[in-house]
Parts: sequence; C-alpha cells; structure tokens
Amino acid sequence: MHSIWHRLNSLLTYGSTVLLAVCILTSATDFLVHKSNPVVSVKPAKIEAVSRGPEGDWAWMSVDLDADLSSVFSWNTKQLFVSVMASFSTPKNHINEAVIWTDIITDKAKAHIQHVSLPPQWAYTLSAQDYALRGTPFNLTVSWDVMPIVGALYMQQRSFSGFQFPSEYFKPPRPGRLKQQKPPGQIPGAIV
Amino acid sequence: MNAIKSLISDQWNALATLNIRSLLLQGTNLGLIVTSALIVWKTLILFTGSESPIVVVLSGSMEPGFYRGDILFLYMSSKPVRTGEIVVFNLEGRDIPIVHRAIKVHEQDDAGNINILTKGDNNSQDDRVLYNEGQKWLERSHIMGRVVGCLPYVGQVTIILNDYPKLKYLLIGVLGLFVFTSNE
Repeated sequence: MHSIWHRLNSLLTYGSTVLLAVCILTSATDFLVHKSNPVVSVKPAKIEAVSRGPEGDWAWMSVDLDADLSSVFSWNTKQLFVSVMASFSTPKNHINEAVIWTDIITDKAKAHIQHVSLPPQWAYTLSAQDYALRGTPFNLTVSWDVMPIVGALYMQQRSFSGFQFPSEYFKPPRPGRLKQQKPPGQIPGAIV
Repeated sequence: MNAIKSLISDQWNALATLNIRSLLLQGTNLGLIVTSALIVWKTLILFTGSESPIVVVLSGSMEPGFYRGDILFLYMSSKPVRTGEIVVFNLEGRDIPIVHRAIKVHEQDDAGNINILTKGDNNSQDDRVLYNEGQKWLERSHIMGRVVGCLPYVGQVTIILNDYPKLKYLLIGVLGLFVFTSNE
C-alpha cells in the first residue's frame, strides 16, 4: 500500500502544489501590497531632422529624460524594461508608435535615469508610413514593463503631449553623421 | 539495493497477475488521465484566447528578462498590440513561435489593419532579419498572444526531454508501467 513510490509520488505532488501556491502569493504581493510613486518627465531636446524616406517621412530627435523608477522595484522585480516612445497621427494611420530609446534596469539603485540630450538609439527609428510628418503634433511616452522573478508582468506609462514636428523638411548637411547611441552590452548579430 | 530489487519484483508480480478485468480498468484509468489533461489544455485555450497558452523559452534573445527554460503564460485579448508589449508571433512556414517586444506600431483607422515591428530585448537589430523574405511587418494574424506571466526554470524539463528523446520514451514507458501496475 504505502510503497516508496506512493510516498515519493505524494511528496512530489504536495511539494509542487505548495511551491505553486507560494509563487502565486509572491506575485500577488506586487499588486496588493506594493505601492510605487514613479516620478517621470520627458521632452524633446532637439529635433535634428525631418525628411523624406523611401517609404515615408522620418525624423531624428534627441530627448531630455528624467525618470525616477526606484519605487517601482519590489522584492519580486527582476528588471524594468524602460522605453521612450513617440506617437502621432497621420492621414494613413490614426495610430503610429515608434520606440526611440530603451534601457534595461536590473538594480534598484540605478533606477533613477537622467539624460540630457539623449540621442536616438541604434536600431530604433522614428518613421511614418506616409509623407505627413511636417507640422504634425506628437506625444512622448515613457513606459516601464515590470518583469517579475515569478508571476505576472505589468506595464505602466506616462505620456506628455503638446509637441510638434517642424513644418518644413530639413536635415543636417551630412545626415550620415547624426549622432546615434549604441545599445550597451549587446552582441551585434546575435539574433534568436 | 534489496529495496530496489523488491520494488522491481513487486512491479513484475503486479504485471504478471493482471487479469483481463483489471487490465481494462487500468486502461480506462490511463484514458481518463490523458483526456483530463487534454480537457485542461483546451479549457486554457478557450479562456486565454491563445492557441498555445503556455510556451517554453528556447532562446536567449529576451535575456535578462526571460532565459532559456522559463515558462511563459500567454493571453490573447481583443485589444490591439501597442509598443512595449511582449508578443508571441508565428511566421508563415515556421514551426516555432517567437517571443519578442513590439517596438513600432502603425494602425489604420477603421479596418483595424495593423503593422507591427518587433525586436528581442537582447538583440541589437530589429526582427526584419528574422521575418520571411520581403516581409516588413507583422500583422494581426501573426500574433498568438501577449506574455502576461512567467515561471522560471520549470520549462527546462521539456527542453531536456526534447534534447534527449530516449529519456522521453523511458519516462513515458516507466510512467505507463506504473499506471498499469498500481492498484488503487
């Protein structure tokens, strides 16, 4: 009746049930107990180009970013994926969203991000699918995806509006020299 | 050592004394286990709206967020995809779905036509190099769901079993034997 296999089986079943319950409770603390008070602001520092591309207009913009996300960290937070995104509306698409800069924060002590004139990051581009960027208003949004050690993910964001692309095309004499930030700690070419 | 020997002989005796009636009973039990597993899976599909609600991470392209062997839970809502969300997509003619983050979204007015570009957090390039030749965007039909939760390490079991198929058959064989010889 009570062979070693039965004992092993019930031990395993009971153990994994308890472990699963603990995981669910841990994740629940993120939503029921943890309170955060992120302070965020972002605005365009300089729009360096608005121009015609092969498939639509593109723009080049640096931003001023100040985001104190340290209170978002809880004991179950593995990392924050922070992104700055520009959104705008054009005749072809009522919603256009383009991420221009991202960062991965794994340490609460480094969760206060402050950048002045932050250049766009490689491989992100700000582009439309039609030729309608000139004079178009746009919003800047800072989003942080809270990725847990175990359990549910959630994303929060703050949007700032009232910005506008310049009303004429322009680009620097040598657009190839536009400053671009290389993403840190990534191996180029490592896909999948 | 003796304990193991007696264990094996117990199993053997149990197998040897099986008559047709208990064989049928055990067969029914096995069928019950398999069908209830299937019911749970199909119910999950129904409630999450995703055709594969649980996936195992097979690559390091989303590190340090998700590692190889993590289990991800997917949910497919009617809400359109927005940038920053982690989506799972399946390209035409590929077997294995990909879990990456949406970095660009263009959505047309009424038709709900949507163009999505994705990128792995740990990759330096966007996913156009992964898409099929000539494909520039993901559309609604490619998306299988959003990642809503993760459970680390547990998926390592499936990775090991897939890497060593003999181990898989051994496990299935042993479990099957136990189902047939257990007397409850």
